[in-house]
Amino acid sequence: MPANTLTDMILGFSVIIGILFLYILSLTLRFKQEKRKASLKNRRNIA
Amino acid sequence: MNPFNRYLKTIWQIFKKDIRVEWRGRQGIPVMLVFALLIVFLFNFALQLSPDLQAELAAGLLWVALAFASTLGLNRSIASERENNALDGLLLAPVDRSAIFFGKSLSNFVFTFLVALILLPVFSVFYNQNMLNLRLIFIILLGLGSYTSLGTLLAVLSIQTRARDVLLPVLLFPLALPILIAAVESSRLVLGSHPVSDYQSWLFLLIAGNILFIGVGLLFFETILEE
Amino acid sequence: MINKPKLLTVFDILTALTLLGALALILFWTPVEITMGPVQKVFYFHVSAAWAGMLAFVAAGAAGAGYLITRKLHWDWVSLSAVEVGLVFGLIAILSGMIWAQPIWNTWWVWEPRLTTTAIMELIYLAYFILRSSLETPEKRARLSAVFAIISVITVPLTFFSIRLFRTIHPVVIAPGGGDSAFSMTPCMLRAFLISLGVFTILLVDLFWHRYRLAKLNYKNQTGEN
Repeated sequence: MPANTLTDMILGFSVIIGILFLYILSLTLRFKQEKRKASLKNRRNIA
Repeated sequence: MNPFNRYLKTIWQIFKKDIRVEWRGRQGIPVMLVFALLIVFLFNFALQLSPDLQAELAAGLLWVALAFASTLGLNRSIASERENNALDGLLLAPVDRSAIFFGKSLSNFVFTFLVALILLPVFSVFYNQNMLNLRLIFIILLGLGSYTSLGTLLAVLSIQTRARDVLLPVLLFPLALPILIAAVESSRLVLGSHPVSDYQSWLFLLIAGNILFIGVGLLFFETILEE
Repeated sequence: MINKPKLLTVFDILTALTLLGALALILFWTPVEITMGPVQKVFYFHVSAAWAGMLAFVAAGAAGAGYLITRKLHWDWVSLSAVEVGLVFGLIAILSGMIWAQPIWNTWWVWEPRLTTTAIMELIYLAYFILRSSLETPEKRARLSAVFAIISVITVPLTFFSIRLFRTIHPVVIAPGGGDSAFSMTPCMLRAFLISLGVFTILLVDLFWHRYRLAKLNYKNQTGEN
């Protein structure tokens, strides 16, 4: 009879997916910020 | 003079210069020594060591004290080269730069080793066991050899940054971990009078560490210092 | 540069689909392990994450060597991106390992060689980021971090070996199963495991690609290039 570790399994996969999600979020936010900086700079160059 | 002798002479000159600086200023060895003793006292109270536990832990404590204390000496030895741009002067000298690395490593190694030699009788008294053991001294030679050559390289690296010497322990400790594990374990086995066969794999690991870190120093010292 | 390449969009979709596919495969089509129960299923992603992290750190060291040889800054971006993505995978490996260890060995942390080595690698590469943040000129930062990335990756085998040797002398008492991943894999489990390894490698490349674009854009913003 296998041990009942279903909640641990759910916790494990949630942590894995959660960290991946947070990292993707951080990548997106940082990329947006750099994009904003780039467009600001472009406008200044044109002016 | 043939190039090899010249190379050795450069190392010797840098080593001699460091000894002279140490003799006049006495900023390296005494500081390391006092710091190492303070660590011993702190550990004693922080961990509330019972006498029989102390004997088991003496080897570990010795290496923790040496590892922490030597970062002070390493930083001091490199920072003193930076003051008054002495390092630039050294770099301008028409010598192979790896010889500078060997010279600085040698002086760091010898100073830390002296601290260890002074600590041994003190530990023998504190932990009530004879630690003036030739085999232990041999292990200390091997352990400190690789530890200080890696330490010298990383001290030169960290002095180039904005954080300066604060960075050294953070860079050095995780990278030196295998050396410290090997040194602690072989010292512990030596103090427990185990036969050589019990700790020879640790000795091999220490020798490998020496070869690796001296090689790494040779390879990268110049790269770190180029401007 | 700012516009996302089409290939990357395709790759993103591919990555998401394969990841979901692997997750479904593990959850619904692999057998439940006989003693550990469902929690053992974390193993597939746990080991895959550790593998991806290790791969990323080796790549970071190689890219460091690439920088020192060619002195082209894009190697520095490769190195930086690989280290950051590697840190994320290492964190996943450690946390999922802890969650697995808790019900099986009744403790969150075991000083097991692979787990401990992963933890030390995380510390080494956190130090890498501290080193970077304390250097300003891009060339100097690239040069010194390349040296550190190379030294780090060559000490990892030494660290693993020393911790394993340490453990054989002080064996940890582990109750069921004997050791880490000591269960025997059925062909079905092995297939799911190999698929997970592949999927995490794809995920690593995808995340790395995004991080690399960020590094490039960041550099261009700072130097004023267009």
